[in-house]
Amino acid sequence: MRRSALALSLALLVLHGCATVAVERGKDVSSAAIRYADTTTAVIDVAINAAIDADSEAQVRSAPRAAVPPQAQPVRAQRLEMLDADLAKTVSLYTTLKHSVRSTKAYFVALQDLANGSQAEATGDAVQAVAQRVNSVNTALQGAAATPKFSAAQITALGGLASQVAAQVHGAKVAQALQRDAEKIGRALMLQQAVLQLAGDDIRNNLTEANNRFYVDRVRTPYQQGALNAGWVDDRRTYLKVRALGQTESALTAAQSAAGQMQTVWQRILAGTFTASEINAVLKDTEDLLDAVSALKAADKPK
Amino acid sequence: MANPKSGTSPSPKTHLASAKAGSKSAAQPAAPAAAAAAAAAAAEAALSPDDAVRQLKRMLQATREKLMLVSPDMLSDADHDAWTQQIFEVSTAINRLRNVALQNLSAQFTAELPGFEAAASQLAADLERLQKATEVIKAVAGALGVIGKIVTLLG
Repeated sequence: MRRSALALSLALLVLHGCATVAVERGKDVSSAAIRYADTTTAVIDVAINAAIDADSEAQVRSAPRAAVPPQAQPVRAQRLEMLDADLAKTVSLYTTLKHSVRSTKAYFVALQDLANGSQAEATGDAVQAVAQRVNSVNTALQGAAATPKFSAAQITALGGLASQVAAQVHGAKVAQALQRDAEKIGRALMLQQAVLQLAGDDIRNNLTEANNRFYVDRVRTPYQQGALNAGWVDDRRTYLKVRALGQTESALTAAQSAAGQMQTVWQRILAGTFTASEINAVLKDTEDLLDAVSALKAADKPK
Repeated sequence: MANPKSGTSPSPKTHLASAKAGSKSAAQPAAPAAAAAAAAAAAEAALSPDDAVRQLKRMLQATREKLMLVSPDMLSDADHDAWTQQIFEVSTAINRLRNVALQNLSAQFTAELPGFEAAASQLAADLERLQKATEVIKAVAGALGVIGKIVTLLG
């Protein structure tokens, strides 16, 4: 009897371990993927502005030196309309992608709800309540002298067993969901990565062009003209730091691109090798990029 | 990122030539030249269509970055006109390539969305079933409690 109880305890321990792994993996993947989706939508917003600003910067930079004669103005208006039509389409397409990313986020929120939705404790309490009620009914039927059907220790044990079983069922549900949706999750992550890369390109491009313009206007030209002052020191530092970040970013982008070629994202999730920390590392790079954009914008403000 | 040499004072023509070198042509507008170079590179590397579009866009962006390093005040009128035209053509090409890439991505997402939505509904249903099972046990406990009270009252 004691041996079978020990075996049952060990089996429950092992099963509980498996259930815990599945649930924890579900929590990890869902919370990281939700953050990934949130960051992707934020990056899309920045990329929309970056795409428009980079185009506008180019127009400002290449503005005519003298007043444009009236006969040439319709041509310029037509050019602007052409650029505007393309950029309006860009905004619309980015917005559509943002909605799509939000839809994938809804999936991961549901996965997180399921992973966090353990009924183990509630089920244990409910079963204990059933056992106590059985005792109460028995007492009511047979009188106060009746022996309880379940002892206090048995009630506690029943509750614990029910809790373990519920945890198993919950773990199995999460594991089943992860397995069932493996392909979809892999696709969702890869599509978002593609969005992030495309949007990242636009942000980096705008950052580089803005930094180059900043360099020409605030660093190179004053240097060439010998008009150096204390502000030039700050401007040069700002330019060089952003330029260095751009070089780091290109190396990171290459690494991300290689990772993006892997068609086995989900297999890695199941194997526990594509972790939340990996997703978070990708996001850290993106956040650094966004910080650099803010830093340059702050430095570029007229003093 | 472009790597301008600080401390030097190249002539305007050097700036423009450098920018043109980025587009692999000194005589043709930047966009077609960059497109041809990118197409050749894409074919060589056997990229997917999506990757090829993205790479081409990056090359054009790099070209515009170089063009933007030119100091307009140092250009002759003729060079300024050519430079302006190149910036316009490259900008147009970048915008259109971006839209092609976004359209492709959007189409891929749209194809997947019904699957994502169905999977999310399935997860919600799984959670509901778990919660219902516990609710049933709670209901049994509640019913037993009522039975106990009735028996006590009747007794």
